[in-house]
Formats: sequence, structure tokens, C-alpha cells
Amino acid sequence: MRMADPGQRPRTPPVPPRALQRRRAGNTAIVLLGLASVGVLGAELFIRRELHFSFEGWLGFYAWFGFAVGLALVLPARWLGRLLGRAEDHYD
Amino acid sequence: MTEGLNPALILIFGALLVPLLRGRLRAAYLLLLPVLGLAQLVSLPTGEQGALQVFDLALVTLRLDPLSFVFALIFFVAAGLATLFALQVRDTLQHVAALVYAGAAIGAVLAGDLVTLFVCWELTAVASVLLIWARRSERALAAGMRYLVAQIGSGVLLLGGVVLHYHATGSLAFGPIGLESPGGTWIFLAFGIKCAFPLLHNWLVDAYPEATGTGSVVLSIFTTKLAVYTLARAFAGTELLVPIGATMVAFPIFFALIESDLRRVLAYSLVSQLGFMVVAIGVGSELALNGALAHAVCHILYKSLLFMSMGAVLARVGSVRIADLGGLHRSMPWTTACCIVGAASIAAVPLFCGFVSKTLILSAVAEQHRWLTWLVLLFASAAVLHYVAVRVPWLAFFGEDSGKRCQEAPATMLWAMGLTSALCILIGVWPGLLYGLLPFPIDGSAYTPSHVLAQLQLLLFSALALALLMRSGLYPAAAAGLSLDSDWLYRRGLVWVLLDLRRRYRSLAGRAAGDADARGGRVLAALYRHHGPRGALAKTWPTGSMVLWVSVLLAGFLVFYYLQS
Repeated sequence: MRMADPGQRPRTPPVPPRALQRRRAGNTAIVLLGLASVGVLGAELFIRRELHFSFEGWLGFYAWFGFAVGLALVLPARWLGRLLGRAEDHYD
Repeated sequence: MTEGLNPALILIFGALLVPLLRGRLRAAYLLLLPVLGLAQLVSLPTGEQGALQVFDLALVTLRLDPLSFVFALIFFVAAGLATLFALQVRDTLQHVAALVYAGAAIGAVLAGDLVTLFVCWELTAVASVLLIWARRSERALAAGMRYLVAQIGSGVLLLGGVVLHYHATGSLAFGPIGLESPGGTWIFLAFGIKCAFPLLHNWLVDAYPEATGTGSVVLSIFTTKLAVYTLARAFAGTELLVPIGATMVAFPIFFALIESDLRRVLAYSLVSQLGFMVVAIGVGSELALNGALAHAVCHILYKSLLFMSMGAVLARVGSVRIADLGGLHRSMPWTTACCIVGAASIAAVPLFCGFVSKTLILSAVAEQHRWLTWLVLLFASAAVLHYVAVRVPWLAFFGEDSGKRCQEAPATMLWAMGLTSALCILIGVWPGLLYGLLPFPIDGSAYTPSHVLAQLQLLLFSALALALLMRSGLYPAAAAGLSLDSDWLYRRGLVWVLLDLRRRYRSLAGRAAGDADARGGRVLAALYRHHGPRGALAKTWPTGSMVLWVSVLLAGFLVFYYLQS
């Protein structure tokens, strides 16, 4: 049996730490999500829309509305968390 | 089945035999009751039955029409699934309470008159609180008491409204009532409490998370959906319901975002989803009422599925607080999958049941060109992805690994979750199954390219924003404890007012007692002075003095007698 040379670099790359793995997976997920989002946005050009309101006809209305809602939720929620958050035994 | 037998009675009276049975026999019996009830419901002809004369009151205890049939049907199905989920629970109280509660809710749905409705209304309150108290903790006891006060209060308002309504109209029929009708406002408020209208909603987010794991599943099914049914029956087209519903849709979102107890997150999202139904009932068109009913059916399925998954986590981990969870998909893969199905359904992802019902409501609101209400509903449709659809499965089953390793949920729980998931997907894939049950015909389909594309754009871009926020660390962390809500008004504000009143009363009473003491002391001193050992009226007088005073009195008498004559 051949012994490994201690000075020699191991053939298999070192396993990245879990945090790094998670970060890479998160980046991949965001890229995939971004691609899917762009895909459904582009599909709008090929589909006849049923409109009830004039603003529904704006290009990508649902897309930017969904994105804006996602961003807009954050500030009030952070502020509310500070304003309304109490200890579990607050009423005890 | 027995002709004319109210199917609700099968559950209510059938539950009374449960304590006598043990083991497999009990399990079989528990599962048999909803099946028998469902078979009886399906065998009944439409129309009014169960006429009953109580004193001068003519009651109709059983009325079957498309509206009551849809609700009774889904209540039986959900009762069966919840019973299956709870089968491993070794607590007779919970089994009996759940069956009586389900039976009372079905009895209320089938009630053709307001008195029968009231009786069943109160029975749901009494039976359901046992599911909260069954947790047998101090917090559960207190939350159950607050829940009971709200429910009984709702019943008292209902009774008052019924009396006024009967006095003015001479009718007890449970049909369209309207706010203008005598007693209509009382009845509307009674229904509003049970439907968790804004500021009247706290009993729900307070009590549901304190119930047992299986109790919260059962609670999420009946009470609020019974209220939705009664609103649809009595107040369809009431314009006031539109702003009320829109408020219900929007405000719980922010609370759900910062809550750290996942069952409380689900409770807030329950209020928000109820708002969709309330808006639709307020709009009142055929499409809107179809949407409200369809959404109630779907909501019962996906919400109970989400509560089941949290109940399974509670059973295995002992907590549903975010800080205690994370990474559970390794231990509970099937529960994780079922939770994701529930999350996809509530987010109205195409091919899941929420999509086919929410689309009806959005279309109905859009048809009437109510742009502001429609935007509020669209806002909630995008936001639901943040506060429930991603948050609950992610934080419980993925996210930061808590290191907890446990067993997968018990087999009966998995079966219940699996069957509920299957129904969520079945209705999502074949919406005709649900649409065929609705009272009005539906033109067209939810699956038009335009609808599907709009929903995908909304959800994907909302998810993209969520992912970017989480990546950047801007996403709000859950509050460590609880969040203040309007319950502060009575749990802290009212307590302060009462304590202040008590302090003032005591101060006044003390002062009054002091004054009384002072006056009493003076009276006692005077009595003592005159009647004490040295008092003029009590001491022993010498005989000579007595004779002297008698002589004076006689002399005085003679003088007065002389003057008078």
C-alpha cells in the first residue's frame, strides 16, 4: 500500500465550509429565480392579455408590482417589529 | 340512510359514545362517524326538513340548498381528515370535543331558522374551547377564557339581534337579513366577531396558537368558515363588507412577518385569507359568491394542512417557535413535502387549489372595476409568499439547522396530511371538481394563459425580491417574543383602567370610612359622656336631687297649666 506523501498536495479539493456552500447555493438559486422571472416577463410579449384596468396593460405590471410589494414590506415590518415586539411574558 | 335525520346529530350524539370505547375499536368508530354523516348528507334531498314546534316558534332545523351543501360537505371531509390526524392522541376529551364542535358547526350550516343557528352557534363555542384548555397549561387556560368570552359575547349579540328581528318581522327564517333590518346590526356584529373582523380578531390569533397540536387544526376549520357561511347567507352584497374585508386582507400581513411563533403566523394569515372571502361576499355578484365559497373550501384544506404540519412538528419537537426550528427536513421529509404543498396552495401557485379559488375573487372584483380593492387583494397575493409560503416551510424545515433530530410524524398524521395534500393538488389540477359544487354556473376557466402568466409574474418577482432581501440581510428578523396587537386594549389598557378605578374607589372608600370613623367617634364620645359611668343620664342621683327636679317639673307644669287656662 502506497503511503501519501505529507508534502504532496491532496488530489481532492478541500470541502468548503458549510457557510460557503450555503452561500453558493443561495447565489445559484437567485440566478435561477432571476432567469425564470425574465422568462415569464418575456412571455408577456407572446400572450394576449385579458385586461380590466388600463394599468394592467403596462409592460410587466404584475412583475414589478410583485417585486415592489416584496421590497415595500420590509421597512414597515422592521419598524413594526421594533415598535410592537415584546417579551413573551409581557402580559403575565 | 335514515330519512330526514340531521347529519350533524350523527357527530354530536355519536361523540357521546367515544369514552366507552378503547383501542382500535375507538379509532374505527371515530373514523366511521364523519363517513356516516357524509353519507347521510349526500342522501338528503334538497329543501327544508326537520320542522319543529317549540312553544309558538316554528323551527326548521334542516335546510339543504347549494350554499349549505357546499359548506356541510367540506366540513364533513375536513372533520374526517382532522379525526385521522388526531387518531394517535390519547385524550378522550379532545376527541369528543372535536366531534361535537364539528357537529355543531354543521348543524349551524344546515339550520333553516335563527334559533337553531343560535343553539349551534353557542355549542361550537363551548365545544371548541375545550380544544384550547386540553393543552392544560396556564397560558392555554387564560387564552381559552378570553376566547370563550369573545365567542359567548358573539352569541349574546346574535340572540339580541334575533329577538329584535323576530319582534319586528315575526319571522325566524335564516335568510337574507341586511343591515337595515331590525336587529340586523347586532347579527352582523355577532357574525363579525366570529369572522375575526378588524379589531375583533384577537381571540383568533390569541387562542389558536395556544391550543393543542390537533386542536388548532380543528379550530382552523370550523369557526371562521361558519361565520363566512352566515355572512354569505344573510349579508351577501352588503357594501360595508368590502372595506372591512380589504382591511382584513392587508393588516395581518405585517404582524405575520414579525411573529416568531409559526402557528401565530398561520393564525394571522388565516385572518388575511378570510378577508378575501369577506370582500367577495360584500361584492355579492354570482361570480364573487362562487369565489367566496370556493376559497372557503380551498382555505379549509390548505390551512388545515399547514396547521397539521405544525402540529406534527409540535408533536415531535415540542415547539413551533422559529428559534427552536430549522433543518427539520432531514428528520421529517414527508411532513416537509406536505407543508410545501400547503404553502404552494396558499400562495395560489398554478396547479394548486388556492389558484383556482383566488382567481375567481380577483376576477369578480375586477369585473366591477373596484380598482383599489383589487390592488389590495393583489398586494396580499404577492405578500403571502413572504409571510407564509416561504417563511413557514423555510424556517421550520430548512434555514439555519437547529441540530434537532427527531422521528418523522406518526403514520396517522402523515396519512391525514397526505390525503389533504392530494385534495389540494386534485382541485388545483381539476378545478371543475370544485366548480361543479358551486351554486352558480361558472363561465370560462381559471387556467387562461393570461391568468397563469399574471400569477407567475407576481409570484416569481415577489420571490426574487424576497431572495435578494434575505441575501442582503435586510429581511426583518422575527420578534423574540410576542407582538402587541389590539388585544393590548383589553389585556393591558383595560386592566390599567380597572386598576385605576379600584385605586380611586379604595381612596374614596378609605376617605369615606375615615369620615365615618370620625363622626362615629364623636357620637360614641357623646353617648359615653351622657351614658357612661360619669354621664348625667346614667349616674346614680341622690334622692334629694331627684325630689328637687321633680318639684321643678311639677312647678313648670303648673305654670303652663295656669297660662293655658
